[in-house]
Amino acid sequence: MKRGEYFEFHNPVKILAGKSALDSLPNELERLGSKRPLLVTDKGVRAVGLLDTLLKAAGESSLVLGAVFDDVPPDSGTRTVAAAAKVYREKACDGIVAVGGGSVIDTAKAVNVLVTKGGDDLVAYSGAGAITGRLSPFLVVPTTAGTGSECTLVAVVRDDERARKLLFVSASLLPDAAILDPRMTLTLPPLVTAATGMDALTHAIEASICLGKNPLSDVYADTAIRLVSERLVHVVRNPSDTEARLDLAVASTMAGIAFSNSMVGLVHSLGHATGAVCHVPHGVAMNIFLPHALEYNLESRAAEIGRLLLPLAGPEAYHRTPEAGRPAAAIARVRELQDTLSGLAKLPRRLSETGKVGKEHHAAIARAAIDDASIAYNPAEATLADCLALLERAD
Amino acid sequence: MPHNAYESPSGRGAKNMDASIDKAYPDVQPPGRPVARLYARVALGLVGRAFALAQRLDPDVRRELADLPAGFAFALRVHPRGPSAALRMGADGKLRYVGFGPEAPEVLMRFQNMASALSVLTFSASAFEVYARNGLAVSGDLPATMAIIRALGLVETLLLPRFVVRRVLKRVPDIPFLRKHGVRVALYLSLPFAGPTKE
Repeated sequence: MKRGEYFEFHNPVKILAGKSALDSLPNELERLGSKRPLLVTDKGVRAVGLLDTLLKAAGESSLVLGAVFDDVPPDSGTRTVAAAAKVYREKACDGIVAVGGGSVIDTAKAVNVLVTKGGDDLVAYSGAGAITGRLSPFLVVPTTAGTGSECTLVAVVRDDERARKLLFVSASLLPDAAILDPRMTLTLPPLVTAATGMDALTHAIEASICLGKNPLSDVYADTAIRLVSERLVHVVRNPSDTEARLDLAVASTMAGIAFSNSMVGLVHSLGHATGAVCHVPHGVAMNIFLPHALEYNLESRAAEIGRLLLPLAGPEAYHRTPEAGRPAAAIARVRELQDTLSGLAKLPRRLSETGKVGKEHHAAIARAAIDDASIAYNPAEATLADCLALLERAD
Repeated sequence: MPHNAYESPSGRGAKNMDASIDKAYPDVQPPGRPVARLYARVALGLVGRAFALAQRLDPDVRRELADLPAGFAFALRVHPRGPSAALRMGADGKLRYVGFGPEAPEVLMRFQNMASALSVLTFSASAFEVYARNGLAVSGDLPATMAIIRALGLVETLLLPRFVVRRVLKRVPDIPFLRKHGVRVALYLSLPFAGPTKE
């Protein structure tokens, strides 16, 4: 951004992080005046015992859960939101605790809109700025280290009636607090750890180069990039290292704060489109498109991409590399990370490796990508033809 | 009797005190910016008229907006009271400039304040940059919004000289030379006679 240019930065979410962070959940609910929260989660979280971990951590407290709604599917929609809102109302709940990944957190955000604002028509609240005022007490306990949704003002929910994605953008959606406890991510399998880690890295890198970047989002993004770069491979190799798990959780949250204040660009446009057309998991798509989109943006953002070498590779590598070579070295470091994760966790590096995307899908993906809102924030213009060429390179 | 009016807000003394407080501390409203407002009104009016004309004259603009259904309205507006330029798709597939437009069009692109509007309308900043910095809020259907933004880029390219377009767009759209200048001449000749359609 040009010096002196106007920017905004907003993050009112209280963050509780550490090995015993979950133990503070009852106190936080008390602080927020919630006596009977609805716990929103999914069956997978429950099956691996994370709900038991949470209840154990809150033992000997005054916590009473009004209900546990565990019917959130991976790609949640308006019907799920309406069903959870019904439970909230009928069980007279007075707050929400989301325990899960991106789908659970976004569902909980949408439930909070309905139970606070009333009605069942979620579509009426879609778009930017349609939700105003304070919503009900809302706490988030992420069980993946990637989406950063615990600190973003965005929620995406499928419109089950019209088979399309609904985007909600409002500062009112931001949770009151996020609890980052490494116990909640310990059970993540290597592939999910790798994919969600690359999702966090993509958030931070796009936050560093897209049009809304600003000095405050840069600080969060830099630390997030450094933590992912230093810890992701280590965690995939040593999944029970709680300290490194916590570092990744913090990185994911910091990346969320960064991109919530600067937004994301082409990697996300293509990733959202590939997810919608071919159901490729978001983190996998981010991993595939990240280096290609960086190369695409190289001409308009060479200095910013070059600067990323410092958090990506450390001060020694940064100072060893001549300034002109830093952008290419930064992209090479991302590819190196990709190769390592591909070897360790079989994280796909190309569209063809996903087994879900064929060349016949490229036109539909490119079409959906240029209609994705995040493309507006990308520094370089990307037309339909540009997206098709990029898909070809990533195939 | 209370020793001061604050202890009895409903009493007579309170009324007297309220009146004196009102006098000592009147409501304060920032002054108007009539010149800026007039400029924004004229510029938005020109953009609205040019948009409607370009949709009839240029196949690329027409193609971008082809999926908008009849009755679909979109507006570019300065918060909170305007000015505003709105366009509505007719049943005949023609886009019409309708002046201020409906209170809640299907897509509303709202400049958050006059400064944001002026930075875009004087071509000192790109709409994308202002949007990225929350100076321009967009509400409504996303694919339709993106199509409108792409069409707006084409309209700017048709309307403005290249050195100005390069400042406000990330990349100047590639429009064949003869078509671009033919449409530009037609736009310039038609603009003085184009007015808003009454709703």
